[in-house]
Amino acid sequence: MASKGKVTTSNVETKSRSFKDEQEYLEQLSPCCWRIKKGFVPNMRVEGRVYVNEALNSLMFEELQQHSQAHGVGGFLPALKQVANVAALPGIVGHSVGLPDIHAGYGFAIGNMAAFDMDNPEAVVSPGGVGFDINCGVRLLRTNLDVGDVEPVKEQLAQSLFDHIPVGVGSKGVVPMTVQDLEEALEMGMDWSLREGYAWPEDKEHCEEYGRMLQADASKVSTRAKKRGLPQLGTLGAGNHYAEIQVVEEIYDKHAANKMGINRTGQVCVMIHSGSRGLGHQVATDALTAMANAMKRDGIEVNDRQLACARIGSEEGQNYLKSMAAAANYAWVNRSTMTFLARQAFAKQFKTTPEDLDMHVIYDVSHNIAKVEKHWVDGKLRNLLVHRKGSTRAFPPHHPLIPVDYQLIGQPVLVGGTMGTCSYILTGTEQGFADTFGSTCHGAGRAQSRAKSRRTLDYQDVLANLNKKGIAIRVASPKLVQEEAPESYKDVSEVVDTCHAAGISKKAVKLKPIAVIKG
Amino acid sequence: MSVPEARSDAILDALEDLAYSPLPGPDDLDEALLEGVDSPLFVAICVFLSNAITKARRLETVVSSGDDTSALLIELSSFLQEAGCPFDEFEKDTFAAVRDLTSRINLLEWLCSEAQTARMIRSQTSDKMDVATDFGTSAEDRLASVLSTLGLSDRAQSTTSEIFSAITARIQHLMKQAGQNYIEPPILSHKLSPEQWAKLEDINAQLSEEYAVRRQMLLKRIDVTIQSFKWSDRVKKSLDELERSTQPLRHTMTTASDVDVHDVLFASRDLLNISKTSGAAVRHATAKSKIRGIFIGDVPDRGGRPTEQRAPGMMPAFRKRTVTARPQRNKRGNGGGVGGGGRNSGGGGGRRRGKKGGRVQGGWSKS
Repeated sequence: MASKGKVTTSNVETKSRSFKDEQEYLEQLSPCCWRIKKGFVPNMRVEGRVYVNEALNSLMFEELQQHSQAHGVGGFLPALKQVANVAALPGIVGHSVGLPDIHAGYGFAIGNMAAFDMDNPEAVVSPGGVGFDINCGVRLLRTNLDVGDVEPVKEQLAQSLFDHIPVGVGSKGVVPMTVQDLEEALEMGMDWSLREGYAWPEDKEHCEEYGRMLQADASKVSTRAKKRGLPQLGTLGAGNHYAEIQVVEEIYDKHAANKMGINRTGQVCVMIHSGSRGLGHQVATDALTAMANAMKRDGIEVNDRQLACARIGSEEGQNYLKSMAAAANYAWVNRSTMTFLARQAFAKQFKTTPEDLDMHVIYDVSHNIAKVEKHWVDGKLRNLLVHRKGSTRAFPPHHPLIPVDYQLIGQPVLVGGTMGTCSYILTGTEQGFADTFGSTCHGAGRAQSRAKSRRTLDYQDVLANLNKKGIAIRVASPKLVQEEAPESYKDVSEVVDTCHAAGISKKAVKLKPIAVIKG
Repeated sequence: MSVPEARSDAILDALEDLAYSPLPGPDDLDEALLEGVDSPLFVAICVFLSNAITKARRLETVVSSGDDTSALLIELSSFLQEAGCPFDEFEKDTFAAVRDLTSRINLLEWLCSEAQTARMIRSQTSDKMDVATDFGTSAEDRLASVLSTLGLSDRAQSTTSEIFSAITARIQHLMKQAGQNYIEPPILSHKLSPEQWAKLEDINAQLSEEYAVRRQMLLKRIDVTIQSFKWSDRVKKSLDELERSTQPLRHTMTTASDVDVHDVLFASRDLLNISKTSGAAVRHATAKSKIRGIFIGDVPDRGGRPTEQRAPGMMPAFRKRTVTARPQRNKRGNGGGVGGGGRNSGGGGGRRRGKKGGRVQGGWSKS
């Protein structure tokens, strides 16, 4: 969802097998979990695990069938093959995990999670495993408003949000920034936003990593990346990024919801989905170039050219991790700036203060990131570099890295839907921590390509559908209306239900949109 | 008169088992027994053994070594009484008893065996609970503060039981006045056995250790946040003020947890209520900042209404590229149109993005 998967034909030379032969390597372990056996692609070091239910697996198999009918020539590499190729990377531990919203991406599939052993000198870090939109993520704000308060002014509020938050390709931020400010923001993340008065102190508490990765090093971010990032800070961007006004539709876990400050259906929330814009894209691109050389030097063999990687301890690997952390900080500052602007829009509309509207950050998740975490592998506590691409961290109750406030309910996981469908709040579980290194799905996941959506969907129909559902929409570039229509995506409810049934996260709250701001 | 060798050897063995250090030689011990309370070694051994017993059996009397022999003997006398010394002569008159060599040998033998027994019993019951008795203030001070809080005079009652019954009566009276729900009922409604308390102690020790790690992490986060303020040019001019306002608060935050087992007894039912995060209590502390009331000026209308926009045109159908005589370098900008995709299939990593690329940022020199 987050990174625009630029899918090209892989250069891997696999002998083409019939679809039936390919199926031999796949085994259904439970109603929601499939096993990819070694041998599905060459050199697999661990097995693959893919979490899909009945409703979602047809999409996955269709992809594979098309691939084998084409004898591996042309088209893109199916997500299943990509999960297996990741399982062949040096230093991988556990399984290469595919989540229910999985779809083909650059190198790694989007919705793929893989962990590498930090103590293994051969283990690698791969920019493809993070994605181009580094630290793309979702943030949810609560309000004390009811749907009845917002409905009469929905159009005005949507317009005000659209006017406050710069959106779309080529938009520029409204927050005054100098080169020095950008350098500091890259180093400090949300501490910068706090210092400059754009964030509240409590906001930081409810972010992964407290909104700041301490290993960030702005000097490892190229000038080119900084040039792209400077004017874009505080902008939503285009593609699938959005800001939505949502209403609580259903509460599954009353206890968890109350803790988050959600105590009734009809309560209004604001969801912001954005990332590190051009800066993150450039950091990833720079790293891919550098790593191509490192792979040649260190003799690292991979199945797919797109899986460029470097040893974690190598200079290229370290430079990438430091610049990735800086890009992650940029994304947090970006979301914080938009939080500030959303609070402004609401407060102006209701002629009060964001304080009195209780506009607190419930949580902020990152679904495109690599982090060093401690996990149990074969009964031993190991230091792992966990890549999550289109996958959200979902830590269980009592984990030291989740906020004090959520110690007893587990980490909130924000799963953004698509325009016109719904979004969910889940919570992390012990089982998820054991099975998927504490990872779960991140959104709906694309079901058809952008081009196909433009071909098959009608602009007016999509708008009429949204109108029928009572959703106000403001959009910067009209072609996105088709690309981002609900029909282009998988059913987010099926995705979330799969995660819930597999036990890797637990449903807490369902939200539905009443107004959408899009790039 | 001399000390029987077998008895002094037995005392020495016992002292060695009890880890008395430095262990005296046989001659030193004999001499000490002969000299009695005039010998510093004899006094030291008596103090060591009696304190070992006090600790293991949780007695009250503590014998302290000092230069004042009579003070020592008074303490020893009350200790022997509390510990239940079986020798009549000590019960009658400790001062007279210590003048007799046989009594002194009896005393040391008894103290040794008692200390060893107490230690064995202690290790077998596995009662790990350590009840904290040192609260920093004496029991008298605490009692005085209880009495003054309740508005009772501390001179009206003379015996301990009178004082406590007065306190109980007063509390019952006040509770009746305050109404039933004035104090939330405690969470713990059952009596816990010593084993359960010991288990609780164990759990608390583990949690304290675990939470020390978390506190350490949070303190690190506070430190880096404060540091990030120091980097600001504006704050650099008033670093002293920053230090003055943050350092005293920071010093009160420590890694060690101050949660103790007795907090279980204080815990009341209101702990079971779910309070939402960043609720009123938190906001009370952080909402004072003036910056939260600031509004930015009016923003221009940016449009975005779908009704005002034209439906996007269809992608032109794919046409095979025909070779023309046009020079190669003119490929930029042609055929981008709506939805050009921005894809750059070159291996160089998407450097230039055609027509769309130029639109993204103005104002930067072309690199």
